[in-house]
Amino acid sequence: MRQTDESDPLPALMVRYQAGEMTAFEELYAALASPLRGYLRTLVAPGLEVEDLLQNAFLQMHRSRRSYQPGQPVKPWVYAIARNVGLMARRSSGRRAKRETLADDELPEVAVAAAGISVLDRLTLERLLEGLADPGREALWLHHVDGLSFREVGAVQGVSETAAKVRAHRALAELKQRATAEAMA
Amino acid sequence: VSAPQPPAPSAVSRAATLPPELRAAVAADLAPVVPLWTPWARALVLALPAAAAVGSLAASRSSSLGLRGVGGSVLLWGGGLVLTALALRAAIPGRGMAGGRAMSAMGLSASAFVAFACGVTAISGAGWMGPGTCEHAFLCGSWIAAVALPPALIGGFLLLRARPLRPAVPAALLGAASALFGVSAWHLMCGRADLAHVALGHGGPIVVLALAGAAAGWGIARLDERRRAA
Repeated sequence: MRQTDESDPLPALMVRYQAGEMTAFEELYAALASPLRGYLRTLVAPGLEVEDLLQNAFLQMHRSRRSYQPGQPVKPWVYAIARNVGLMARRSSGRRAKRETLADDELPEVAVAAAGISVLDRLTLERLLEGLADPGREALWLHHVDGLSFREVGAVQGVSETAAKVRAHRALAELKQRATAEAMA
Repeated sequence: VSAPQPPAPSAVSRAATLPPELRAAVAADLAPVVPLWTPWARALVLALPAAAAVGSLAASRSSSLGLRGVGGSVLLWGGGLVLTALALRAAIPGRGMAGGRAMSAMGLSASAFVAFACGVTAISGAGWMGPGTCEHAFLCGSWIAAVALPPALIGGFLLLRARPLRPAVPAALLGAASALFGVSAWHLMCGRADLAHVALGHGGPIVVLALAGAAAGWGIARLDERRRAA
């Protein structure tokens, strides 16, 4: 596994956090909460509460902080923990869904954000992404949105760098196809 | 679908604001922690006592240096060290091993062990099968499992300290590694070299402990899932 690059502030923050500094945890939260929230959204069904999952992911990260090895990149470590939280939530919600049938009047109300072209673009992108197969969508998001290298994406997903590249490439090709079909319609 | 609303101030600053419950939970347990040693350093914690056991047995039995004696034990010990390091590495979040890769590692180890068994049989001039293969294989297998128990327990402790996200894979690797440490010591004690005995009696415990490790890891993952759901 490669060592971190000098410009990445996260490894230094992790070391301070391991030493017991609350401010370091706050800075880590500020840096990671937003990308992790987006990533968790790609992992779980729309009905699940992403804020709860995000807090759970940070709690798991706190409990596992001993396992971060100084000098290593932080993102694969954090994203792997968040991925596990997301997949567990998805699995347990899937089990619950088999047991319960949600009545129409119990369906969660979906809030629409303030109007704006960027929000609309994002919503369109999220809708297009929703139709993609899980591993490809995840790899695409991690690499193109969150900026992880394919090596790091592979580490998060537990596959090789090449497999991560193939997944993202296939998902991107499918996404282009869908976008084109939608534009033609 | 609700009507569009202007974003609330709290939603704007949400990205950077630490939720009070999370802050309280973290602050309640913010003692400094010592990062885990590297997987290789931790693997040596297990491998060095095994090396000492092999060394003392070799000295007491004035064993040969070839594949049939200390040389074979050193090879098996090396295999155990590599698998232990792989297991401890795979337990760290973000450095895990996919199921396919783990299977490849196990397959490679199995092939290496079969080659080793063939080598031992060829060098010693023993046949494919000697008398009482099954009885002796069971006896050797039981001893090896008993010798492998301490490294398996200590390794399990080291493994769980990393809070593995998918414990079944590293636990299977650790089970195989512990068995290899046991076999490396037992290799000097057992006088039989026929292929069926070495493959069954000495190779069998590696498979059994790998499966036991995978089952234990799977059970731990399910327990953890239930605890979190509760």
